[in-house]
Amino acid sequence: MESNKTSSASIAPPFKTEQDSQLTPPQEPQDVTKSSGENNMNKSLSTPSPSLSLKAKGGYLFPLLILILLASVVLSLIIGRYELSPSEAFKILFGLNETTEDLSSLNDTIVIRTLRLPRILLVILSGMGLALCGAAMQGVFRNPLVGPEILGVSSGASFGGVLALSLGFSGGAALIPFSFVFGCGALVLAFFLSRLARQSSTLGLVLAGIVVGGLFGALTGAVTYFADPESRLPGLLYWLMGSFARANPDSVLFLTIVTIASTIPLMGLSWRLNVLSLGDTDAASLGIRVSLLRWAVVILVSLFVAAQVAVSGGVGWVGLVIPHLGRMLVGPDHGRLLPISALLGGIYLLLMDTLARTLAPFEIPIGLMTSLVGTPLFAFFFIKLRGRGWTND
Amino acid sequence: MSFLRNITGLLGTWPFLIIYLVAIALMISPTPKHPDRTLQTGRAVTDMTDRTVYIEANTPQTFILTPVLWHYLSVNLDADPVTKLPPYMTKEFTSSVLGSIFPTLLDKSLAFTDFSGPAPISVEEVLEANPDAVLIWNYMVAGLELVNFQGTLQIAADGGDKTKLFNLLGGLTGKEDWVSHIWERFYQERDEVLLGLDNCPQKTRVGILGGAGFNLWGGPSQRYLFNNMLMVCGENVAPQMSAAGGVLNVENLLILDPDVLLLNPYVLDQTDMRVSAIYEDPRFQGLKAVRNRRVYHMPLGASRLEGPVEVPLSMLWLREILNPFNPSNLNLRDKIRETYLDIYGYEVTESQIDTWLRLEENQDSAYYDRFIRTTNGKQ
Amino acid sequence: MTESQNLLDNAVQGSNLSFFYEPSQWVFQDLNFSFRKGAINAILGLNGCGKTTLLKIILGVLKPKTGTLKRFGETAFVPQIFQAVFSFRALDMVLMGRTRHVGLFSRPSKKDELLALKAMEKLGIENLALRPYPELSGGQRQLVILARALVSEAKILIFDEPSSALDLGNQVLVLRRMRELSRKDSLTVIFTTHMPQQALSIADEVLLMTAQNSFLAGSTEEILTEENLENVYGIEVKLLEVEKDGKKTKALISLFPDV
Repeated sequence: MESNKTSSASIAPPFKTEQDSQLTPPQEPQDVTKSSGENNMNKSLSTPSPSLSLKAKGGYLFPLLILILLASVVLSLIIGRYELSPSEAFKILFGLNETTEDLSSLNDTIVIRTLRLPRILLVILSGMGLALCGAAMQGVFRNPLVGPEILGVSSGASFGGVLALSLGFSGGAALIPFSFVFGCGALVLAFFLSRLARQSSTLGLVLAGIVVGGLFGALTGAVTYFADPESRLPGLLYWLMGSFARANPDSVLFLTIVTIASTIPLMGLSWRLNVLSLGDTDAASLGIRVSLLRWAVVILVSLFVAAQVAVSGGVGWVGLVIPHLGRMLVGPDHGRLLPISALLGGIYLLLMDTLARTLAPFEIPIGLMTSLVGTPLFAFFFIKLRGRGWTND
Repeated sequence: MSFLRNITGLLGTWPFLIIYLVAIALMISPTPKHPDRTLQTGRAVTDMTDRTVYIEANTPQTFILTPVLWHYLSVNLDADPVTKLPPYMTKEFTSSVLGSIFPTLLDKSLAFTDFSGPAPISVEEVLEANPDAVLIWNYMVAGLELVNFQGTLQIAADGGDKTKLFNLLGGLTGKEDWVSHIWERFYQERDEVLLGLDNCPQKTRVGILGGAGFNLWGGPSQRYLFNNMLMVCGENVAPQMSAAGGVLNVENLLILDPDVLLLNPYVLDQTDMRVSAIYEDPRFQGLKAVRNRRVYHMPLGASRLEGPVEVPLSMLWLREILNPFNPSNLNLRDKIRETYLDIYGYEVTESQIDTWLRLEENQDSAYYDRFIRTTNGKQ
Repeated sequence: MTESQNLLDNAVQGSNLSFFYEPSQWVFQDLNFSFRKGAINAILGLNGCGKTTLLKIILGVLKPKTGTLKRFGETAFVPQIFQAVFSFRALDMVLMGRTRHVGLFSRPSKKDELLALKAMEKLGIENLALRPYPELSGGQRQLVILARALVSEAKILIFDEPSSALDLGNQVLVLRRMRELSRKDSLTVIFTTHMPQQALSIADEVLLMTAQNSFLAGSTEEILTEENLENVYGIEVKLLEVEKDGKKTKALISLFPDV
């Protein structure tokens, strides 16, 4: 076998993603093995460190996004309808303020620690989880049009919330359990449906999800239709549009636990997700238990989605679009894509929610914000980055 | 060793674990809230969910987030303590007499558009205004409960008991005596209106159109209206409708075929919810009410037709409309004038009365000429 | 593949295998075969005779309806065509071959990366490592997938219609590498093909699937005779032997009757 191997076969570290696309393809001779004399990789051979390093998660982008996230949090704590000077806010944040008996100074502290902080945390967790789950789903289903809602879980959870509200439980105590349970129930339903149809392939799963989602959507419509327009309907409608205004420490704790249980394993599985994204036959031949892995991912994603809808009502768009942005930035390797998407999602949703609670004296529904603002934003990035990550054939 | 090998990917998620653990740590410690008020510090007021709330100030600054604004004003007679006007109320306010009686209120409007959706006001907005009391729907209190806001007075969203509401308002403003007077006056006025109506030998069948997509009012929150209507011999054709009134098709409407069709009073400016539009609408030509030209747009008045101040007026209006051949000997225009003078000390103009009666819209309908002013101001 | 063959020498063994996708539409029935370790085995047959299905059964992706399949060693698969949905780099693709050695919640280690590079070097394509896989030519892709199969350290390599989409030069290169792998590295090679020439060129043993329930198995010499080929393909063929450098190769020529 003739090949002109240079003694320093060198590979650039995998996180230098920008340079990859700039390698010029050599003229293709018929002999595929003839290594062209040009060897563009005169960089030092440094095999990538295992995934413990920050760099492996997406190069310089990862720490940058963490910083942006932190900055957004700080900014968001300062911004709001309630007037707070930045210096006051900082003092309160670090516990350096003097609390007087005066109610208005107590209000300062309350706004930061009781109103904004839990809400910001809830929003970040939601955004991170939704984007990460969306990316995982797109990989598992090998389809760019898939979001975490596709299995009907968010419809089920929405219905659970609507049911609780229409029965008169306006407090959070019943809302979250109802919503979460129905969300998980939707997954169980989809599972049995796909079992009955003897289809645990991706298509079977998607179809089952569509059926279940449609079912709960119709039920939600029915409940809304019969709701009393004075006492029940406004609350229902507002819930359906999604809002983080109810954020409190309990819901944050709940969501955090579920987020840990769901996103950590998903990130751990990122390599296997890569393999799974090759296709069922190939993945199976490489040693992946395809059906099992797929269900594991679906269950983890559904747990999160059910919990997320339970704490705030459905928030669309994030899980569908942010992963594309992530893929444009760092490529399809889930080891990088999942963390980066998560950070992007957290930042994005935080930005949207901050606007939603600040632009007007009333709460703008978050779903409205994400889609209105998200669309031009995504278009912009799509044009700029020219859709890397998916192939064009 | 092989266990470690199996989890290198998990260990790599440490930045996220840190974020999550920080979130937990931050949320475990109790969040600051408003301290509870006690009897020592304030006077007790009972809200419509029977909760006792302690109000400290004498003239409590009140943030009103429900339509009970009207009732508040009839009790307090002074718009000063009102901190804000909810956005969706502004339009109603400006198109009614109250807008003229209390012009200062308009400056307190939260609206920057005509937005009238169900969105709740942000809690921060309330804290920023720092009111002594907040009047709010019972299903929207989650945010205020979060901060343990002490002045939360909950209003029953389905209407509830009006006496409870007025007791609440009386207690809040310290005008309990005035509230008693209002109720006394109410019973007197109402009895006057009902004079001459013996047992309603014949009931007029009435449908109240909620919207042009058509739904008829029939739900529990409009019970007050139907009870009042019954007293003046009007019968709602759609009492069993679900809360939303259920969306009907033309066939259903034709089957029900009410004698009189009334239009939703809160709809102010929809082109297809005007009397003339109903008369011209080809879908409705088969209706008795359209043929006999007995379609009327209900007056908004200055309140929502449910408080002790306005109900005698709206009942008188209904009586005249529904029993044209058994009118009362009262003059509605006079009564309107009287009411606003008695309660608010305000002299309404003739043109304001016309607006109250929605004269321009209704005057082509049957029997409405009795409400038109004559040259010397009397009927 | 006579019965006296020492069973320990087999890499894959199938007995009484049958399969259908739709009930009562059997793809094949009562299939028996065994593939020797270290040998190059070709599965030859008409289009649609079930070759790929048999491959999937051998891989374990499909379960046979009757019979048993025994594998003595791990398998690695080189599919026929491969379209990627995501644009991974060639190195990433090769790395995926290490999946069996990567723990559940882990990622490939440094050692895995080095092995991947070595596999690519062995096939002379290490310069393609950072190129996006979808941008490679058909032949390059095939080699990347071959590298992926190699890096898994599996002893049994299974090819589905190798290089059927390539031009002659690249076809030959791939076939030569397959032979190398068998001879030099003692790997078992199993491949399906509908081109008898490929079997003639490199296969030691052939499983010829003639019709729904019949098949022939044996050494290339035994099975790929003019008579058998004519029966299967229904055309007139001639086999020519060519000798070069002391090595004999058979070539297949199909004869066209004059119109």
